[in-house]
Amino acid sequence: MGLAKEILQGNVRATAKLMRDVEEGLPGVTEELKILYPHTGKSHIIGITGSPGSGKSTLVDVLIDAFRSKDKTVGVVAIDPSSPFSGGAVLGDRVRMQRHAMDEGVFIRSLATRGWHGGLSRAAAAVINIMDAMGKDIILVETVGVGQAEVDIMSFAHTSIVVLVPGLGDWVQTIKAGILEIADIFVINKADKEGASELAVELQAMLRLNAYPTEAWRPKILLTEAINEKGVDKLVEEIYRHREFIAASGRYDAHLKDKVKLELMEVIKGSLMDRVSQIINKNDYLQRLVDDLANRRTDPYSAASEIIEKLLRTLD
Amino acid sequence: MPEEKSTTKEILQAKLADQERIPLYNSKALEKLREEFDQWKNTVVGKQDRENWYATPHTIIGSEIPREMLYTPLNNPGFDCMQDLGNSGQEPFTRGIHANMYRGREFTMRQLTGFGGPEDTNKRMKFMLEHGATGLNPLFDLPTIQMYDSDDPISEGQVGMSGVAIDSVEDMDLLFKDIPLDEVTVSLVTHYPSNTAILFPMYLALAERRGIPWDKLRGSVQNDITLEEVVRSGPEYIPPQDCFRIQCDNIEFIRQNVPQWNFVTYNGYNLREFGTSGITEMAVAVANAIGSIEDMIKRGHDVDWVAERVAFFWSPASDFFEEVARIRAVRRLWYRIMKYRFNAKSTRSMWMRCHVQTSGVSLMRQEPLNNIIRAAYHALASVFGGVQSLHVDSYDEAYSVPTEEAALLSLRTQQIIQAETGVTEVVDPLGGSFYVEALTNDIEGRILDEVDEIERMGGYVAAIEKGWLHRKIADHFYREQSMIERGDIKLVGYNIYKAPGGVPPIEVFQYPEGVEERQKARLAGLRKRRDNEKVGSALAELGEACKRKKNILPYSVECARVGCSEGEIFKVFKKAYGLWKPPMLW
Amino acid sequence: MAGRVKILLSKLGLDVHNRGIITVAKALRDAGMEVIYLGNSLPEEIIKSAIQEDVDVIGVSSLGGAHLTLGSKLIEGAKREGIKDRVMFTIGGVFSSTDAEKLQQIGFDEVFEPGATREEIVSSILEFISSKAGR
Repeated sequence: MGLAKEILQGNVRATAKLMRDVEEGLPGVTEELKILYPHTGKSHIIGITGSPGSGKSTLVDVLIDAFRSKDKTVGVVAIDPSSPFSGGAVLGDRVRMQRHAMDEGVFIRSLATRGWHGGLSRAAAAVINIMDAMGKDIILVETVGVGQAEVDIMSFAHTSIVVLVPGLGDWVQTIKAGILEIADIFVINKADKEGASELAVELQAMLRLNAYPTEAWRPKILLTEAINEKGVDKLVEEIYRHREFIAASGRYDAHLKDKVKLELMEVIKGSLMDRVSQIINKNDYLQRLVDDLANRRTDPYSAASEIIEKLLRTLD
Repeated sequence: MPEEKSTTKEILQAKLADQERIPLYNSKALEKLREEFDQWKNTVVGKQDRENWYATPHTIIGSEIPREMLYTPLNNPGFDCMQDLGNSGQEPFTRGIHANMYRGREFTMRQLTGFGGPEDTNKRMKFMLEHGATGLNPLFDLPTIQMYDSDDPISEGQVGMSGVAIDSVEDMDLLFKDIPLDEVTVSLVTHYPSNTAILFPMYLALAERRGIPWDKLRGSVQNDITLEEVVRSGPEYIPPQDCFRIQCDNIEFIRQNVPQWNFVTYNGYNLREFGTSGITEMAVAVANAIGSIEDMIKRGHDVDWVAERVAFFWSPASDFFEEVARIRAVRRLWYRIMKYRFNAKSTRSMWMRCHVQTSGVSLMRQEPLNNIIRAAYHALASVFGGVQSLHVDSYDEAYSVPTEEAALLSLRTQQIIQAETGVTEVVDPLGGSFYVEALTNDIEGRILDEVDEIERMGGYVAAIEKGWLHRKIADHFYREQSMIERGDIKLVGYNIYKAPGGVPPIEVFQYPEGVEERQKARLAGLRKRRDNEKVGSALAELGEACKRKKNILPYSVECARVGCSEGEIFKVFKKAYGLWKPPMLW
Repeated sequence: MAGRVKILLSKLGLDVHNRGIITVAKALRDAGMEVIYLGNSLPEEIIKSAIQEDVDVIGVSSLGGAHLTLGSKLIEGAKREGIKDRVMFTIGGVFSSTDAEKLQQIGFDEVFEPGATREEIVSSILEFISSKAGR
């Protein structure tokens, strides 16, 4: 395909094409990704998550602006859920960042989760790597909701930001999902709304209950009004402060290792599932198994063993 | 929703429960009727019909209210003629706000006009006046509506299409050249509070230039937050609470300074056309009106001072009797709200004055001449409902700005109703119909229930911010589309009785050439000629007034006087209030 | 082509109506496509976004009368950027049959006149995509 070479030179079209090929799982993709991999690891990856209505996309929009004014190039990966019924999706995050559409230094890509188990889009890791190899200084990864995906994205990102909004009741959800442990920065957006300072106080109290070892990073709580660009400068400062911290403390290396381990596991999972899919989707194999299971002629453990046997045989 | 405050519904229920009711039908007669009716239903009425006693008309933007096969006094047993119906021009105004209705005044016939540059629309308006139109309704082009100048890059390729381009007071002057502002009523179709606060000042500045005192001006503006924040797709929005404040600023300023001008037309039409039922249409408008009046009271004004000039704008659609009943229902409801919720003293405050425009989305492209018939029924239903002013959509609505021929036919539709059918000689001719009164009661209750829902959410502005209204709309029009495609909603010539062979070609309006260039040239000229120092300071003072939450209109009028352009004024709003992003509709 | 169809939908220019385009967006999603929605955009923005997102289809909606002016800018821009042949261009909204023909001549692959059903839109897009040579 020769896409990797062009991507390394910053070619937008080649980049877009490879990202698409990754999503579709086309053959030859892994070869391109192999070429790109040594060139990754340079971008600062920032994960941004929070419930719908928290104004994440608007926050991303103003962050793009802030980084661009510092002459940094920015990549954005905006992930939205696919419909569980049809498999399709409406990806509407871009609309909030449209003023950057004509800026050559900004590359925005929308991704649908495509029902990927674990919440994150299967392609997300590869797409982030492609943007990294393309040379983007900053990569903003935006995901929706509070759940498994968000925990995953935290592992891919260097800096994880959780966005809350007064009055949306996501407070309780946050605790449930264990986000407290993972967020590096908390942002209370739409801070002009009633309840903002109360939320900040409550959140502060919860964080104090966490036991942080002395040398650990303590997440700050920042108030912003993204739409009026208020508080964004402080947020950018805090992002840089975090970046410096993890670089200095050796956390960077540890984080990097966690990240690549996760990447590896994801790729393995994906690869295995692909091969398993090939096996079970041949003829009516899956149908027959399902039928047998439903009628209790077999059980999931035996069925799985059978499939794995087949898989191992194909590898010989 | 603060706990101590009662909702409008609660207040009305309490007050109305207190009233003494004298049922018109005597109980013995009702008993007998009940017996006879039940017998009839079981013996004369066929089994099929008995089992399908309720039928729901399915129409575009209809309310899906089930109807019985036959209505009798039993549908309204507690009917108190004076409490529920009254006489026309008398509380509760169900039968009409004036005693003589159309005998005393014709319904104002007014057709929307607007295309090209101001000089082009000026010609068309003069044509309409010569052919009997009694009012003018200039419609603005998209850049003007969205508040961008004709030379703004975002306006490229769109200047003067589907409306007239107006950038400054000088364009207003051209638009109304040789038209005596003190002799015509002008409905300036400024939908949004923001563009009302920009364009109406230009109109006022024009009147000043011509030496016409503002108290001689007659007409209306729309000025409705629903249009700016809910049913519009646009690149930039200001926050709902600021938009609402501007809506109220407009109301206050106009009421104080332009006494004959209708300062708000609660929507209504655009919301319903966008995609909601006739019930939500009215509930939203009423909730908005309630919120505005409350705001006016907070500003220290008297209820009657404001309410005497409030007006509404509805979209009559295809379900004929729903449309008749709806207008009567909201008229009675409005009276009750003004009397019992706001304790209005003036009768004028209790009138639900309305303008209607027949539904555009109910018209089809296939066999477009059918639309003349559809629109005629919409118009007739409005007349039976008792509206004050009417615009009939042209049959080529689905294509573009109406051709002269189509526009004339619309005018003729109204003129024929008025002059030939005789229906306007009798006030509220359908009043007393068992069906119409039952349906009126039903619809009034449904509207009030939705108003209650909105109030419990914290009021209309809260309902917008929370996305409640956006979601309702999204659900509605998706569902409706399914019903049309499934054939549950029947449309003649579209999904039933489809004509074999082709459809006759339609002559379509040709936009005049060169409008964008002319407007750009005008703007360039204006920017050179005007006193740019005055412009700068007028804009700066406007910005200050916005931030300080003072009534911005006097500052906006000053901007108009010194020749500020629309885009320049909108920029001031955006800077002062910041931008808002409306909720997504999926 | 394999996999999911990606389509970029946008309002052309300052057009205020979005009822139609939102209905279409949902219908396309329900048909399994991935819809990237841009709101109100100008032709150059649409094209830049379409390139970044590597879409198969660009669909624009115009009820404001600017379909010929902005529509032709869109096609011209697409040709300049070299994506005219790779991407399907469709347009819907309010315009006459004469203008619909003009839009076809300008280079739109499918023109949906007022009254086009969601089914028609979805199926004509899928048909066009599958009949085209693979990506």
